[in-house]
Amino acid sequence: MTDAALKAALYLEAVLPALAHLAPHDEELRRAASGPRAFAVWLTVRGGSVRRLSFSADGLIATGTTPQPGDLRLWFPSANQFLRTMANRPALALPVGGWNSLGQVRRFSAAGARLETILNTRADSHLRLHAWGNVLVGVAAACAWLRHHPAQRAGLNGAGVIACPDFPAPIWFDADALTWGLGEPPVHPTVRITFANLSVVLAELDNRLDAPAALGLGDLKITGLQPLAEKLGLVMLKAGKLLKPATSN
Amino acid sequence: MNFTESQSLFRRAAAVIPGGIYGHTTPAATIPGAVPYFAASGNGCRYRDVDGNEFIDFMGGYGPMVLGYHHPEVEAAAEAARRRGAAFNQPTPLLVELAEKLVARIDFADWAVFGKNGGDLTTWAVQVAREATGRPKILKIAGAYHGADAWCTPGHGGLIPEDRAHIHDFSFNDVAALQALFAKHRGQIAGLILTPFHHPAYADSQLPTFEFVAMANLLCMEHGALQILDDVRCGFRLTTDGSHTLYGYKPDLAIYCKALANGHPISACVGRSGLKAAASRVFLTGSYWNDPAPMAAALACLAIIARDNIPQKLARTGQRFVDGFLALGVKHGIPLVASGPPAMPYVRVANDPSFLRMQHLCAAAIAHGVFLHPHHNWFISAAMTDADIDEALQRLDQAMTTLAR
Repeated sequence: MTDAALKAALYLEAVLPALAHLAPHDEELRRAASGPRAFAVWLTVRGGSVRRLSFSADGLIATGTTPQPGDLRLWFPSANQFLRTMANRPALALPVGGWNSLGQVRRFSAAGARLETILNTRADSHLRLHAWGNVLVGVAAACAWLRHHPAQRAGLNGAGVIACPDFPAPIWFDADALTWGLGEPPVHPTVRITFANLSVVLAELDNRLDAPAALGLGDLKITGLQPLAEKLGLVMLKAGKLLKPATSN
Repeated sequence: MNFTESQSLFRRAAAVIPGGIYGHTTPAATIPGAVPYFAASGNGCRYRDVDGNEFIDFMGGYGPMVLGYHHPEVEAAAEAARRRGAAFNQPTPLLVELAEKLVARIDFADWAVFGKNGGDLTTWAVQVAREATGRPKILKIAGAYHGADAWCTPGHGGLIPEDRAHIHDFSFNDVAALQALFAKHRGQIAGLILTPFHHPAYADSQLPTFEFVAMANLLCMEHGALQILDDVRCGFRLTTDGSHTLYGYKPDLAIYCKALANGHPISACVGRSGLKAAASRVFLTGSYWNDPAPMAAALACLAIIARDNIPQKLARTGQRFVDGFLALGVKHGIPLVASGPPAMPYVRVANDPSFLRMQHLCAAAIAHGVFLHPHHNWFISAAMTDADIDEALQRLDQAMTTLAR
């Protein structure tokens, strides 16, 4: 798998699904995604991943992988073309169905722009969502990364929860099923990672957290199978390094 | 249990030291908030933390305190050497005496060198293997700890892929995997580094099978690769003359450290005569490596280990503790699993993949004055009497009662 194909997969499997989780907590995102009627876009990258995003009239967003009749179907001839689109650069995207929804595609673009603002900028108004959204995307990207690198799954077993009192909801992951979600995992967690507050999360996102010291001080708590947290963190780091240049374009 | 002073010190530490406390003694690796962070003093099998809490110690400094804190004979020998001076321009006669002692004690050893930590000499032994064979590759057990150098560190920071380009892992006791690696890298393997038994953190200890030891010996001989025994953790704890005699390994090089000098900083590597010339070509030194006091301590410690048959005592004491602890588990409905030699047992709660129950158990044990680690093998000390073990078990009984509530 090329870096471009992998990056496209991470966008489709990890970054764009974050829209669905962030929308209920961000009025600007809902406003951007709202429109006169429900609308859905089905994204396909040639030889790669797929993603369906559906937008309700009031701007709530759902995500899935199965197309529905009436979806605007956008086909990207390559991962690079898809990534150019994600970076708001001229790209070739062929509408292959649902043409009568073409006029609604601006909602997808506007929601994407708001997502980029939330994930890549820090302002008091969305700092909580910035931190939560980045952890959420990081966990989702780690799961996606491992789906595409099965050899790197060795030793990554069990489920975990990442929590912070400032998060809208804890984020869970299941390293066996490579699934993730909000709240408590469907299986008993083997590790629980708790950040004391937003500043600890932000320090971790900036790669400036002295984690062992934070653990000793109680700013960060990891109970249970600590190696699982460490291994997931390493995968998140790899995925983040691949995604970050694109998100900062 | 009050850890106010520990935590206050840690806050200061975190401001001026990366990690606050780094390495294997970091609170992060145990149960932060439920363990002491700083020690103050020790005697026999007990130590006090900076808050004045006293613990019956089942870690012994993660291994070095094989005879217990402040062993009078070891301390007297070290102190006598210290009074004469430290870190001279030349080594003292103690260097020669200690090398002679190890060569006499360890059946295959024809020479010895000294460092400060096990990792100093596992890394050096790898270089000796490469120098002696002219080959690059080292085979090692997946998950085995050999130190903090780039070729073997369990850490992730600061590494580049080239650091491990010639290091190949296999699962302990996996004869087929070992054979496959030797076949795949025929003519390229400098050495096979082993621990006498597999003692990873977060997993049961595994004793070697007869087939594995026999195949390791055979493959090294057939392929002209050196067998390096990392006896840092086990050496002089399971036998008086190196752990290879217990399990049947035929090492070419072996490294000792933890039980060598009862807490004084010294490690040793011994080897066969045929490797002496190659060993002489691999540069080895350190500012304090000739310091006489630890060598005096090692001579005293080795003498006591042989005189008092310390390994036999550790095995008996360890068995008493493990049997008693498992019985307490049955009594309290906490299913426990023990593995490894009784002198350095690894105990965990059964069906506890998250280790949460084990972490709670160890936190309760610590709160009742028994220092246990939730993820690492423990170390029995020769300073432990039957009465100490019984007291520890009594405290653990109380601790487990609090868990059951």
